[in-house]
Amino acid sequence: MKLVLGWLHRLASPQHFFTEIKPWVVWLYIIGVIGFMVGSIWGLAFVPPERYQGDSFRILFVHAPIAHLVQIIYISIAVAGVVHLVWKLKMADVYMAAAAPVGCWLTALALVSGMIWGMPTWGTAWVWDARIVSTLILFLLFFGLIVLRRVIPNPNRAATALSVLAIVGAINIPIIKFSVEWFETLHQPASIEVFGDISIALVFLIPLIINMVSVYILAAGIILAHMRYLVVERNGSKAWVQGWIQGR
Amino acid sequence: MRLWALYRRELLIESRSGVESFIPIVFFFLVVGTFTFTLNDLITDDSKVLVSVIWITTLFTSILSLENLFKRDQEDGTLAIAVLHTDALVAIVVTKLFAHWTFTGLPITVLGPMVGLLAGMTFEHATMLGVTLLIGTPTITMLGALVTALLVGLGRGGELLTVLILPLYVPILIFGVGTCHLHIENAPYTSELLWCLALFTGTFTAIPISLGPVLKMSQDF
Repeated sequence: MKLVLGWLHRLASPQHFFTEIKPWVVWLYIIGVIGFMVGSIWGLAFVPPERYQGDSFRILFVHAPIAHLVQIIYISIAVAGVVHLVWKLKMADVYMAAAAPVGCWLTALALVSGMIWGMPTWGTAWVWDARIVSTLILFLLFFGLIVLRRVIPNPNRAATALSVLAIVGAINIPIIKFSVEWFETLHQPASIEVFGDISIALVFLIPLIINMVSVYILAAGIILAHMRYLVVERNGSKAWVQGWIQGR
Repeated sequence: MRLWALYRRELLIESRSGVESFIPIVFFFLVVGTFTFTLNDLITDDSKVLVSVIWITTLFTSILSLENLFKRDQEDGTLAIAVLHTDALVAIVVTKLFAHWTFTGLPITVLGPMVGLLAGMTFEHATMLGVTLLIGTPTITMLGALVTALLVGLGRGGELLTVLILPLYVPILIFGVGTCHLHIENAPYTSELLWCLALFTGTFTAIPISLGPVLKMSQDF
């Protein structure tokens, strides 16, 4: 335990982070890509077609893991925001800067894949549903985080502003989700339940879980790689960065 | 007493800026009017549509007026002095927001239901719209002020402000409109109304405290 804490402590320093995280990035990429390929090929080729939706349900193996992942990314950004506000940790700000674009793209992917799935199964690409609305708002919040960093020239101020916005947004997301859910149940009979009470059969579940885990690993790899890049960019004048550049 | 003086000062400045202070209200009428031109049957047949139109227009009016919330104070240095008064900062800012609300939120709270009556809502439904607006407009002002404070002194506003604020307005919009819709349908609406009040009290508790540090941060470049 002490060893782990000590390791985490060292990671708070940009230089240690830069050198120690490199093998992690490589392995996360390798494991993530292999896992995602295994899960996707399994899901696309070896899983039997679903009873009601036929083959169109196979987009589930991409859509569900990503839609789940983006919420976790947003929550983690809000946590990083709290960490930044409370302890003024620089790496927390680097994390926010690195994770926001990743989250934004993945949310867009989740929305688009959901629409593609919705067309053949629901007959429409868009439904006023709690999950869809909260994902759309999530996309706007990610976008807001990226834009806010761009428009504030002072990096310290940008970091604080981002933390505040991320935290306020994180409080909003569950409220939006519940509000639409109640709204819906009061107005019309329960609309499409993606998972609901229907427990997924094991044949579908295994590749789904493989994909879910590997998408998490892959996203962690991408964010860490981006963080390394940002660390170099921000510490460009430091001796260790200069030394590293010389060494290349 | 001093806060009262501050409040009066804000109102005086607002009222002496002449026509400018009426722009948000005119904007509100213009947008609601444009909707009625295009949706005329839909709006008079179904008051639910009208409620949604008025609520959404309120949000946009608020964003439009928030753009100038701290602008003048930032330019003439009033804000810098307010930030120096660490203990009084929260009170000063809340007074300022209250004055701002008197010039934008309050007129809309009164005029919104009147527009509703003109467009064929029943008196009861219009009153409910007024109640939700009365709870909603201060909440909107508070939430918007926090985001505006993040951007003080950057000379940016307009679309950027809209992109940042609008996602945060969604809960109060959903519950505010939801209350009115349920009331129009004769369905029980208490839980929605209580949620509106919860958002109102929540923002009033959390945002004044966080506005201080955010404004302070805006002063050091």
